[in-house]
Amino acid sequence: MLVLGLAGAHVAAVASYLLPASPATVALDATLGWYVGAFWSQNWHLFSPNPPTSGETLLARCTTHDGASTPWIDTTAQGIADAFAEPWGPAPKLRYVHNGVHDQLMRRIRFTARVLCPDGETGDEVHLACADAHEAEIRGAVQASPEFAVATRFGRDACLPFVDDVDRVERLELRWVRTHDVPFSRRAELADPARATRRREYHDLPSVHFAAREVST
Amino acid sequence: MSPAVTLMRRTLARAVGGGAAALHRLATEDVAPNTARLLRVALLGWIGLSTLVMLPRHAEFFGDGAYLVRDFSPATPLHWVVQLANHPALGAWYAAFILGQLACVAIAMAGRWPRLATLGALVFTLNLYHRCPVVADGGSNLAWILLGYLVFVRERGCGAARPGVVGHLAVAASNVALRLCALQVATVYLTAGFCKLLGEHWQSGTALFYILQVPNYAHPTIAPPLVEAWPILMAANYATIAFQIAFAMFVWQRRFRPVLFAAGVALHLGIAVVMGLPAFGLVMCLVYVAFFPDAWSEATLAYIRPRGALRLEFDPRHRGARVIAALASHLGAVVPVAAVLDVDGLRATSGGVTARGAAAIGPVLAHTPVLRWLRPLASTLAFLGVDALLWRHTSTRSAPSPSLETT
Repeated sequence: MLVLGLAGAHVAAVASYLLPASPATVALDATLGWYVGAFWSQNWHLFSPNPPTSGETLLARCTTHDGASTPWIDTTAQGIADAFAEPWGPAPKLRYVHNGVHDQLMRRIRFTARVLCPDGETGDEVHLACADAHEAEIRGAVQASPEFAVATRFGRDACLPFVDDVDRVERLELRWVRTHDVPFSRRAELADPARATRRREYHDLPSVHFAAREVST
Repeated sequence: MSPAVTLMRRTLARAVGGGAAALHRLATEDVAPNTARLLRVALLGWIGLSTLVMLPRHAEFFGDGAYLVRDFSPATPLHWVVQLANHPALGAWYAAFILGQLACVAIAMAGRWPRLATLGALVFTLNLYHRCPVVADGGSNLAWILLGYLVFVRERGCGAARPGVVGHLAVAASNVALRLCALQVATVYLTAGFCKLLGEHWQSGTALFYILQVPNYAHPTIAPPLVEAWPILMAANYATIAFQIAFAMFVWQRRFRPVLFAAGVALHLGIAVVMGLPAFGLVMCLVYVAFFPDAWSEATLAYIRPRGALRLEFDPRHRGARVIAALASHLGAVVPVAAVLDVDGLRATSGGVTARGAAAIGPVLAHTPVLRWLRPLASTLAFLGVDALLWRHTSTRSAPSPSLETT
């Protein structure tokens, strides 16, 4: 009976964690969060309630000290292609790392924008230019964040196939791109890829300048 | 007394008696020791495989120069246990955590100290996932939760429980923890199914249409034609919701299990291939073992049992090799064999105990210097029973089953 009682309490704690948010679950979380959060935290939404309807990626462009520029490089495209080509190798997990660099930077930008922008102007969207007065602050805060430092290193590494040596990079530009899916109402366009127009949003992130052999932003 | 009251009394007495018997059985008898064993082998095998596939690029995941290695920030005492690999003094030794995890996985899969080794594997695994959190996905989350339960689960070969209250508690905890594993799997499907019902894209049947346009989840060759064939995706959309809810509700009845398992394997195979999530798909198929009746698990274990012993050759002149051989000898399926090559490598002398079936390829390679590098492969082939097959085809002697001999 003792074991059954403990198991029942455990199941109730985990269930309260998984139930949709309500005043009761919020109160329970405050009481039992230390227990569930320590080891039993879980999230089984699995593309629900609504799945992603757009893909996000980070583009990088490097300019070398001699003035040559690379094209805009999709930093995650190769990782995704490798993951599908070699599903039983390290590539699918490496894709998580590459996406993680991008996701964490986006989270930092959203968090910064939400903190610095007036209420109601940002929501969940990236909104670097939420107000002229705040844009410089947001860019400064993002640029000083550890996530931006990681993204900078990642972006510079992505240029490696074009520049041979990352130390030759003098300037790095990063651009966040969101590509929206073709809506279901326009599904007929998918039969002809030339007709299928996908809406894209671009946001240029602060560019980074590198001194020869030394990194400075 | 009216017949209705009598009937009620009898029914109540039967229910109370049945409940008491069930409680007594819960505390005195391992209800599914083979299922416990099979589930442990499946989950630990998956955990080990997940780490092995990352090994070729381990530094990019866990090394100090990796993009997303987390800082050491213990907020609770538990974090001190599961974030040790993030400690600045230990970060450079992350390989030790990988080796520790693989060693614990091997020991538990071999059936030695299963609960202790599972705990070890869990701690090492959590350390690795905390070092690079982005490599952990839903499959990893489910695996470590189930391993948390399996730490309490006794399995086949654990022997009789201690007499007295402590023994009864251990058996009861084991049986309840195994049931919690099954409940956890059902919870995954129930939560996923009901959450989908709340989303407008799942309600309208267009969720998969949108998911398969996102490059991260869309196989470059398979997804585009599927997106055009939207009626198929719409059917798959509703079938997914129906399956997830039906699984959680009907899996408790044994007669529905084969159908539900087949549907689940088809679903997760599709997810693995089309959406590029093979590890998640595999672990979801493996956790169905939690619902296996003990007889199914016993038959499965008998089917997958290694037919021979892994013939681990070692050089007895080296102390380190002797230590490794001594440790390996504690694993049931491993037989260390001393093998010394003489100076010119043309002849080998072997000592120790080996399996007859495992002796076919090793000596041939040992006598052929240019092929000596293939000896680990020979050991692996022997482990899989391939060399026994060759032996049967190259010798008039029949070798129906491995038997022990001294060479």
